[in-house]
Amino acid sequence: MSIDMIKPPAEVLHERELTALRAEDRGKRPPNWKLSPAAVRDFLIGREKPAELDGEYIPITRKFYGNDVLIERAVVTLAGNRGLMLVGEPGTAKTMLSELLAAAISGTSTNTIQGTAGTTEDTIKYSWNYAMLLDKGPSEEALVPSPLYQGMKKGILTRFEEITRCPSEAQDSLISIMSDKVMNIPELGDGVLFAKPGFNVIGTANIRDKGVNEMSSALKRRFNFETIRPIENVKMEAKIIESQASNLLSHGGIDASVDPDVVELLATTFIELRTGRTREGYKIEVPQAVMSTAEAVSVYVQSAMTSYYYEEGGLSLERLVQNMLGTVAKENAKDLGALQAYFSKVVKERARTEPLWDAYYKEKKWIG
Amino acid sequence: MDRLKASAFGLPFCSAARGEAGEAGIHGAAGEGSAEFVAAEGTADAPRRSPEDEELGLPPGTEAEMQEIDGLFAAKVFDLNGPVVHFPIRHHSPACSHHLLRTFAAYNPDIVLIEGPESGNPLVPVLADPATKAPVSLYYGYEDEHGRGACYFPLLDYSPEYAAIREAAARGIPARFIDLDYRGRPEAAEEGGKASAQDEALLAGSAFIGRLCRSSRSRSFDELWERAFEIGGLSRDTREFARGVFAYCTLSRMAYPPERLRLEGDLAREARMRELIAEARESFGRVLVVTGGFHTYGLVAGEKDGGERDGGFAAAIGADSAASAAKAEANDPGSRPGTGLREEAADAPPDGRPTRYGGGSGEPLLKPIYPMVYTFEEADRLNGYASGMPHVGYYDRIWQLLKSGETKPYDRAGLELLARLGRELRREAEGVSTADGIEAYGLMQGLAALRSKSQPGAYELTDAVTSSFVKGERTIAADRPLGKLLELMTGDRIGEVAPNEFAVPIVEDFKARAAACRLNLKSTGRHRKALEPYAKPAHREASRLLHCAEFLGTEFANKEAGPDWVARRDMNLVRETWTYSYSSRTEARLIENSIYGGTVAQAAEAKIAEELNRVPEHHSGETALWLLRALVMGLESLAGRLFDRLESALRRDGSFLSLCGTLEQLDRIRSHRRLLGVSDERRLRRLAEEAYAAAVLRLPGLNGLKPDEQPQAVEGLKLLHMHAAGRSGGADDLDSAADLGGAADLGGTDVRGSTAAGGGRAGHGGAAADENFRDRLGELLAVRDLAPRLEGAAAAILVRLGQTAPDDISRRARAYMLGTPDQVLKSADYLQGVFALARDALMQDDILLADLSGLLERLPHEDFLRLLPELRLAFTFFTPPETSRIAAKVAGLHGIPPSRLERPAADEAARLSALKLDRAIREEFALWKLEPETNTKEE
Repeated sequence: MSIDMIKPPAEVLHERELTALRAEDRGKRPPNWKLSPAAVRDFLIGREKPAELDGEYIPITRKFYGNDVLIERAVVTLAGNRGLMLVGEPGTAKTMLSELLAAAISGTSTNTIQGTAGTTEDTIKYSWNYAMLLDKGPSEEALVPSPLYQGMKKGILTRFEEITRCPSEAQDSLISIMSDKVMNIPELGDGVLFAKPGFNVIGTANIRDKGVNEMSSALKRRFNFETIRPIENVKMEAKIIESQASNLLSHGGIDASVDPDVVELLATTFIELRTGRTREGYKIEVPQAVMSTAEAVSVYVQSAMTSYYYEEGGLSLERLVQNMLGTVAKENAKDLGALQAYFSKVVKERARTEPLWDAYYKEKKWIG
Repeated sequence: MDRLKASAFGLPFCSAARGEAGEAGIHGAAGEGSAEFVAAEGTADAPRRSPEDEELGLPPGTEAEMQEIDGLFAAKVFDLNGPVVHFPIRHHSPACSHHLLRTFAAYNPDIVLIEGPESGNPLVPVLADPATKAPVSLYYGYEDEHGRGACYFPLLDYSPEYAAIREAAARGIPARFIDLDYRGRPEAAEEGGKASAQDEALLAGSAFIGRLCRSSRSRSFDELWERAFEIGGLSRDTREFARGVFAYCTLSRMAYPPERLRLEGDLAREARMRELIAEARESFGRVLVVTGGFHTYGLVAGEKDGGERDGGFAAAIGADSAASAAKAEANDPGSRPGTGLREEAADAPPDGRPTRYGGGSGEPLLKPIYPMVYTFEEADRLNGYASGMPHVGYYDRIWQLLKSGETKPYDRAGLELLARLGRELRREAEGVSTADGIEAYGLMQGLAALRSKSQPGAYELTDAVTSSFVKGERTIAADRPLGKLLELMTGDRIGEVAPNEFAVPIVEDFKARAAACRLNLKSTGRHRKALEPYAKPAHREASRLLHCAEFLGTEFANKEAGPDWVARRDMNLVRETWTYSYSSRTEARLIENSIYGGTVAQAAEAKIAEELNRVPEHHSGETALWLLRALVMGLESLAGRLFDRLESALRRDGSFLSLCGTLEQLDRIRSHRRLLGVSDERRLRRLAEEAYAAAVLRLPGLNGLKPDEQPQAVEGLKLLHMHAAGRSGGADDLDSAADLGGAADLGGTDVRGSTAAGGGRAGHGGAAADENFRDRLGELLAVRDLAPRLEGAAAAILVRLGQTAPDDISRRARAYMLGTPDQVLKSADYLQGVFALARDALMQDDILLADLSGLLERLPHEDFLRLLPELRLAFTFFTPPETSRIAAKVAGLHGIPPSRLERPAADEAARLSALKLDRAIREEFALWKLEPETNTKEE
């Protein structure tokens, strides 16, 4: 696997699994899909039986943890007439799910519109190469296609990231394209782009985050919504942190093994601070900062890297707590109080019986 | 392997059973590398087979079991040429009913035996009657060492048991229940409340099924079942279907050790069923047995050796390991066996005519069994107690479609429901379009294809609605479409039982009266009814019925708003608003009440009579309250008897408070007599007269009351005064007082007619009673050490009646205020008594006010604090304007202009500067290390 990319796209990362699945997949496929819906599902949530490729068994691993039924619904939605809109709190792996779906269905997850507050209708539909436009007049060569244009033309999925961050006017340019599956290009003489079968849109949106725009009802009607909820199971969260962190570390060229006990400690801390309930059932204060799984992964990776470069050893709890500080104290200085309280109540209590938690408690000094 | 595959009937056994091997150590031979059996084929591979067949296959290790199952099945279970055919079922399954009917046609039995309570046999003709409409149930109560309970045996149109009963009736062959009525269930008693006991508890909870769910990607046993049998089973041959159910249930049974089955009572029940099957075989050539699939193995395998090893071949193959037992327990803590029976720990009243069943000393007492209506809602809710299938209304529709010969009933039912859902949601003003419906239909089909189901079932339907109808993030607010869908899938039907000899008269009476009152007993859900009992006679009837139902504890109706006759609240309201909902619970409660009488009214009367037995004969107040309640419920004949009892109680009643209570209730009845339907007004008046006279007679004994009864006594004095004032005013005898109360009750809306009716009958006896009242009050006041509160009240009444001079109040007050310190502390109590009856005394009598003012001036601080709470309470009798007037008077006493009263007690600026000064001094003291002399420490 090439190390030239900081974060390889899903189709590169899971290339072998996808190839193997494609080779064995004989299920009915919607037009232009690379895999049958059942194989797409298996790719996302894994299965017991490995796929065979050139005499070699390739395990089909679970990549998305959570609601399996949701995955089935999402896959079937994409085969239909409406777009798929993934909504949920920040850090619930919406983007990852959208990448995996696009990689499995269309073979590419990079055909993506990255929505921002500055996104305009041009970035969504098409724009022009002005030198060529002046030189030759409006022509297909002078047209700069957008990912949406590409998706329609090639019959592949277009991902639209952070759709609610775009201004409402820009969002609305999707409405008629989504229902008619046609894009008019009046600048070209008979410029009409008909979407090829296989085209669809996967949007991701934060609904309750700060700085988002409400979606119009008309746009909402053109999407099926799936709400992705944060994980509330420590084991599952630990598993995600472990697999993602080891992935990121190996891509960063860092040769450090992931310590499952520390990961579970981290997952427990994050879940408890996110849900406001300890595993013993006590209520605790919840910080405003997003305590998502993604943040937990980044805390772990950062700590592992610091330990690797500065201490030439395994990850130390000291680093973990230091990095956690940065995550928790992002939004509001008051959040630090929540972490302090967590340490002086929950961690301290557990420190009496569990050595790892005791070591964890000793690092409280960094929080103050 | 192919033979096995075909024989495994499309069940995704493989990985599940392999898991069993690994975890419970049953099949030691199971090795690695058997993975190729799991979902090995792609969907395009086998076009001739239905999609549910795809995941079939058996791992090595279950071959032996499957062979035994196959052997048993062919020889003992489903031999259509043999003397007995067992048809294994799951309760409430349309597919089972479908294939059961086919089995009838193929086997042509002479009798059908059904897993159901044996004592329900006499009711079979009622159930088979075409006028009986499902859902219905059999109901009986029982009593054992754990207390009382009740059982329901619900039957839906698509329940195989019910299909069998109806088919038997159509063919003219007998149908019989063969199960025990009762099985000991210690857990039910421990859990308390309602417990369920449906067959599938063990079935669905087994470790085997759990693994099967995981390997087939089903979220629950119900989805697994629907996929494999409800949908998958439709396209199958009946024999294969029955074989599948048998294999499924038997493999699931293997997960439990025989000891557990014995504890659950399954073995005892199976023994009884075998006995009755054998009995039937003697007189009938071809016997069809319809039981839960879980028991079929016990019935056929147990035959061989007299039930010694009917724990199943779990024992035979050594599966009875502690591990598997522990696993089963852990997986299914609340499971227990049963036969489609729902159990309820009801607080049933003792039955007068129990029938002893069985004969062993430990046997429970069984009460008669009744046919009873049931509701879709309850049948579905049952699922919450691990029994039956959810979405009753949905499967009922499937069954109707199946019967009409529809080949794709699930498709059709899904489509119908989507259309209905859209319509209902638009009615609720949810933004739902036809396009959403179209999208949902497409999704439903797509999901069915993805999940290898030949038709989309309940789970595809709910998923499709989740995706296409719920807009935006899924929150409680956005979830309405899904909630509505589930409502529609449950349905709101209530069944009907054909007229029959077992019908309980009280239930029939209730239904007839409810129908006359136009109450909706045909559909579930909370219905609302607003009544105007004063204005409309029909509403008066309805109100009486609902009050009866409430009193009998039928859980039928709830009064949301309206006058509360007993708690004396909201008496000014003329309307009543009720919500009600009919269900088998109501019917069960009515049946329990049937020991009290054959009609609702009789039962209520008998129950009141029972309550009254606990009331001492002489306690007239309680009796009067029951009289009022009886009248509100419209129990006229009882009311007549209660009047008699009240009359005799009045003569014996020696309690002032009780007598005052009676007087008050009688006043209330009098003022509402038109509503309450009391025609004998004279009697009412006479009784009130008697109560008044008796109460007055008890006045001198009032001082014996406990301190906490004194406020009540003051209220009684007030009531008597009202009556006495009515007389001395000469306007009327008792009427004005009663009407005063009545008008207050009604907020002055009605019942003025009585004044006219009673007008001009100024009684000469009234004046006498009045005089009597004064004399007795005088006697009371003469009592030594009379409680100050009573003294105040009595003195105030006498002044108001003109018996004593107005200054009597202040004179008596002075005795307290100028008395010894002990007496001073009682002055507040005295004032409370006075103000309760005549608060104008303080306004008119300047001496009283001046004394009080003087008292407060010279009272030591601590005594003042002790007196303050009671004094404050005394002054709560005054309205705010009155308080202001009193304040002005007090100001006048001290020569202070009234304008000063408006000013704050101290100027804010002055207070601030004082505070500042104080602080400065303290700081200075601290500087010099001096402790300022304060008394804060003592405080």
